[in-house]
Amino acid sequence: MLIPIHSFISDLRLEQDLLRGIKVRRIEQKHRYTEKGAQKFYESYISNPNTESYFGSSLAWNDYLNFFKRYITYADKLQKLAFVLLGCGKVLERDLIKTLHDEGHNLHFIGVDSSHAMLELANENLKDYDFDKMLICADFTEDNFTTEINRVIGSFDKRLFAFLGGTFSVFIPTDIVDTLANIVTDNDMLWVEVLLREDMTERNNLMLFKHFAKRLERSTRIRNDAYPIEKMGIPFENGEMTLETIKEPAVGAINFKYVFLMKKKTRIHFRNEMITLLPDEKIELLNIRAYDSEKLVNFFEEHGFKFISSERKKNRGQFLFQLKEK
Amino acid sequence: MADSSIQDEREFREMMAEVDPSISSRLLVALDFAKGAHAGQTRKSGEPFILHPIAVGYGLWKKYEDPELAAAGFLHDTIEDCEDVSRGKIYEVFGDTVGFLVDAATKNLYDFHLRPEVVFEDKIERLLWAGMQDMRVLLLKIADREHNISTLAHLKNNRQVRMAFETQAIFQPLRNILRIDTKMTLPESTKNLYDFLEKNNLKSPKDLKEFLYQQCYQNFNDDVYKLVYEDSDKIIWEIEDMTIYENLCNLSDFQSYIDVISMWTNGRQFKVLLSFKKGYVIDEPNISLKISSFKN
Repeated sequence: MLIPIHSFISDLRLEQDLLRGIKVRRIEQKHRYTEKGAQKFYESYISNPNTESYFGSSLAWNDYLNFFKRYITYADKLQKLAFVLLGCGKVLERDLIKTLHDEGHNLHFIGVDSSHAMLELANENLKDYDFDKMLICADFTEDNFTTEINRVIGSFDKRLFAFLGGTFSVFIPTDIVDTLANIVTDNDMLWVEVLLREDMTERNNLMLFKHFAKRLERSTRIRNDAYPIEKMGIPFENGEMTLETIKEPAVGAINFKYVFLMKKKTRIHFRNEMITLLPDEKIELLNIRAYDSEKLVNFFEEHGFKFISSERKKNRGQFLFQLKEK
Repeated sequence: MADSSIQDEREFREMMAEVDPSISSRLLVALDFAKGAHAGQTRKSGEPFILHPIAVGYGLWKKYEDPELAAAGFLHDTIEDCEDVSRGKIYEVFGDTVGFLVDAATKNLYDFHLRPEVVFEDKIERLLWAGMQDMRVLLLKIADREHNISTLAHLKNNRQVRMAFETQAIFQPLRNILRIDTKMTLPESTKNLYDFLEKNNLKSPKDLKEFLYQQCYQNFNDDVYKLVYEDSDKIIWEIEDMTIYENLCNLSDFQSYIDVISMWTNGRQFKVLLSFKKGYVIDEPNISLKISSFKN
């Protein structure tokens, strides 16, 4: 059964945000999944499931299950748990939720995504699942999110905030970690999955770079990544997609940035404003970060989190944190 | 290093016992002259300075068995670093050939003792001109540089980077042209150099210098060379060939000498931006380093 989608964010706000993004030439990744972008993303993901945000072998839902079950006690099982999946997308993790539910967890699923179109796809994906669920259209980096989410899940015994898949890696670490420190309370858990660096060598960085550069060869995929550009009326042919890296040493990450490089002068009208883009200007569209495990943990600890556990499988790592006692 | 160089002297003296006395006596005079001239001097590492000329002279003897070249190896820093040793003295004591080799290997001179009419403001051109007269000058200078590079760690990082840059720009390509790693007699080496100069139409030291620049660097000239020489550790370099960069990444020690700032591709072209933290000479053909920008 389809459920109503709650919204903490308006379409107008998203469009204003997109306008601001093109002006500063940095468009947040959430805009890639709006409107037709959601379906495009979904289709390209289905055709290339291992190349979206995973590198090497992706974590399967039972990898999540096995990791999480190590930290669920019988007492936890009896508690009323809010499972908040941040950036829920199409909820490919539905089998994980279903299994926990079927095993007797008193669990309520809350999927949060900033794209209404993506949540509609999630709704479709979840319609045959009978666990308690709620879908919320919200941007969890917005100021009002903490207040709004607490209104929805404030009465739960325990809350689990999860970033599964590639969601966490698209956010600026300093932005998201402080946001999370304000959302999460003492009894909550934070579960984060990231792409991990094998080591800190330039050789490994180059290996990852070559992997991510292959995405540029797939014309459909790369056009889908550029969906916000086309949505605003910038012809794809007026530029080209490029990949560049920057290092974020404080968190031990290397950031692979997909950037649209303008080749021709282009003038667009978006939300009644005229925007002029000149050759050699760059529009940042997508970030994928690969982290060093130890530095990531240290980074969270320095921002007020207590490390509970981590598990690595090939290039994927999952980490569990709680808030340190204040 | 000190132990191995003391051993160098011991081995060299033992070796001299097997050599024609007319040769060994000249070489031992050169060795003792250098020891006297450099007495009390130390290197940045704190070791006695004389260990360096001994390593250079002995290395040249082992490789080429040429008495003048080995003697010049022992003496090559005396004019430059010893107040009591004049250029004329070296010519007087060791003859015109050794004198010329040492004269040519001495920095901060503009002419030559026996050729005062030949004047160069550019020290690299002066060296290359001398090398085109007697290619042993180049063998001497390369041996000197190789030993200095092998003991680079004692220098400050910016000095290391500068010396490595000069080596990369001039001496590494010279090494390749002279085929230093190939066993050749001196006459074969000389023929090899002249054949190379003729084949590439390199008629003057300036031609040769500009040819050397282009072996490792893109769009290089004297002005750019001077700019980089002054601020070697502040340059951000660009490499556009991913295979070359991949080969460098596969070298076990490369990473500890560089900072990679970023990599870039549009799917067809590639570039990596990097800077050198310490002195490192890349021993890869066609690396084609290009200046990207200066560090703040």
